[in-house]
Amino acid sequence: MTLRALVSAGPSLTEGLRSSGTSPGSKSLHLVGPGKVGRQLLRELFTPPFPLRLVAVSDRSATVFDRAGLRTECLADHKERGAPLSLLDGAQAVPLDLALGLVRADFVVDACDTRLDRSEDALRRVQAALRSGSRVALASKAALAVAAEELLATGRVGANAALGGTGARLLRELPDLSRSCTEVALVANASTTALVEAFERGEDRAEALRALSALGVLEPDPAADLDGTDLALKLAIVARAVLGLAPSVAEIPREGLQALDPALAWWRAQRGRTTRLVARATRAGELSVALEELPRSSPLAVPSDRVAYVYGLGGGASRAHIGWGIGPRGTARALLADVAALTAQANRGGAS
Amino acid sequence: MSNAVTLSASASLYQLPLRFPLASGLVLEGAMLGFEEIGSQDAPAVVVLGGISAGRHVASSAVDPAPGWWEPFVGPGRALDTGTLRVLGVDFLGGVGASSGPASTGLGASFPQVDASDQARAIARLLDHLGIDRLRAFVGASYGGQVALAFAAEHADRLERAVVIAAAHESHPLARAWRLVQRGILDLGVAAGRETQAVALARALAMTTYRAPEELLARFGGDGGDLEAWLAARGRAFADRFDAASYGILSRAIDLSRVVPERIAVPATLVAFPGDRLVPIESSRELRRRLAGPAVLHEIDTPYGHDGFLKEVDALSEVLLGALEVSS
Repeated sequence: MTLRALVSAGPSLTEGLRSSGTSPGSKSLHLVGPGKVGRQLLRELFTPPFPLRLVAVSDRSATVFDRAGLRTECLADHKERGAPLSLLDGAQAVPLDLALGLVRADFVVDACDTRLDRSEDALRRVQAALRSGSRVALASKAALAVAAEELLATGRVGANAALGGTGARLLRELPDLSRSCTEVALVANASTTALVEAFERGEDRAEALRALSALGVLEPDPAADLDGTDLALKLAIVARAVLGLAPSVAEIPREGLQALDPALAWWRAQRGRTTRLVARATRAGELSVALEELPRSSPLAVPSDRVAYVYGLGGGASRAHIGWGIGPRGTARALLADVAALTAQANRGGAS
Repeated sequence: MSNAVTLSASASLYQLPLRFPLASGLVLEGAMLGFEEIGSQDAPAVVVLGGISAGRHVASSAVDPAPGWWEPFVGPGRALDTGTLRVLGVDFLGGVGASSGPASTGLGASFPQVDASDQARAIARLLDHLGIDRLRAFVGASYGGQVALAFAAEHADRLERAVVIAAAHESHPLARAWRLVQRGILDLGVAAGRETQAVALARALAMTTYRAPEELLARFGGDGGDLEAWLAARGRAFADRFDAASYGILSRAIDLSRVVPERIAVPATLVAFPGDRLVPIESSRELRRRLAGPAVLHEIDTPYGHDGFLKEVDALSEVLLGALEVSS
């Protein structure tokens, strides 16, 4: 497949997929991974005032592309039905790396699921987008977990959504934090916090899991959330970016929610205390994910609709980043905020 | 999408509900309150708020030995005795502390306008979070006094006594006029790209409204001290902490905040300073007359004008002791 061929595929897309009112001057966007978050992003894009032109969407099966712009709501509806993009007229089954190079959008949003065993693939995806001149906003944590320091140093990769809406802050404050931060502490997995809150209300484990699944708070397979893997991934990202460490996620000692007795969480709540799954790293290289009893007024004692990234500055002082870019809508909005931040950075003459 | 704040060891955070509705009809998203507690957790609780430049750090403690903004009044053996009281200091929403504000949220001048009733509702939520059903007293001075009145109006069942110092049920037009000019300075400075200088100049002007003529005459009359250097120093110190957006929001919040005194049945202790040019004594007298509940007004003579709430340690301590004794 060549660029000419891919571009020529544009006009053959069904009329319904073509945007009716795009501004030729607006920045172009290529969405990779139209899953739950990606679909929400498509819906957010349909709502003004985002001055972005969606020119391509890629899933595992294919890429649809139109330089003039695609209709975001049609694509969202198509994916909502569980259908692969390859079923669409004009969709091209090209390797993703190649598609990124051919589309060469101003921004690539990577909303693929995070799979630790596919970190290298995820990293190659980001590198391909960067080579094509795109700036990349990541919801996926896989590439960051193995190369956050390298990717963030480019100034062309955003991790806002990957870090619950706090990644844009981190990027802005990274020069200072890299110098002054001695340790980090994270409460950054909403599912585990929601489960603790359920225990604190007196629900037992089975009851709480059932209720949270029904509400869509838990992923269909919540194992990586509940066993601490997701939190370890986020810890690896900030430990690399801020503390200059290079941890292997698999080697970070961790306990999960299975280690928490619901009755203990309830009892602590009765005493005005709370419990959270906390990830910690020190500059000396000690990393862990463990359940902790906390005062309710601790910066780490965030409710399940927020995440906390607390950067220790020594002497008891800290810099707290509290984010609410979680869940499909919050993550989608965090991605768009990242695109805005990357645009602002480009306009300021940042890395190009 | 996020708040970013720097915290001292003594600072605590409370996350307000993700969408916190404001009196203006706007919604504050992802807001939080920064606060500090000193004293015994089991003791009766007192909230202490000061003017717009004051924050959560009311007084020193073992955790944070730096003096607080109301140090002479709060601590072991002082009027608000931390040996027998649980004292809570809170950063204002919209300000520059650990509570959400223009800088912490990154919203800048787009941060939604808040008023005293919003602060009061946020504090009521904080009390829920801390398991405090009822306050022994809500002590507020200046803008904090407006918040105390708003809390008394909206949460009467949670308060034994409001102590309102150098504040009234609404701002006097002359005070509003001064603040309008200050905000004009801020707007001009921001437009000209000289925000820091504008904040300092606006604050310097504000300083002239905080103090009474006799104090300035005593300090700077004749060949006295250097008035210009004093104003510049006060302005600079403030500009080191405040951005124009926060200053504008809290300044406007004072103007917007008003309560209907007839709706306040909570017992109240009022303190006014006859030389206060921002809150004329007649405003405090009118407030006392119109309050629905029992109210006593203490008029304390001071050369410090509005800033008497920071300077008149002996007289004010006596009033505080009396107010708390009546409450207990």
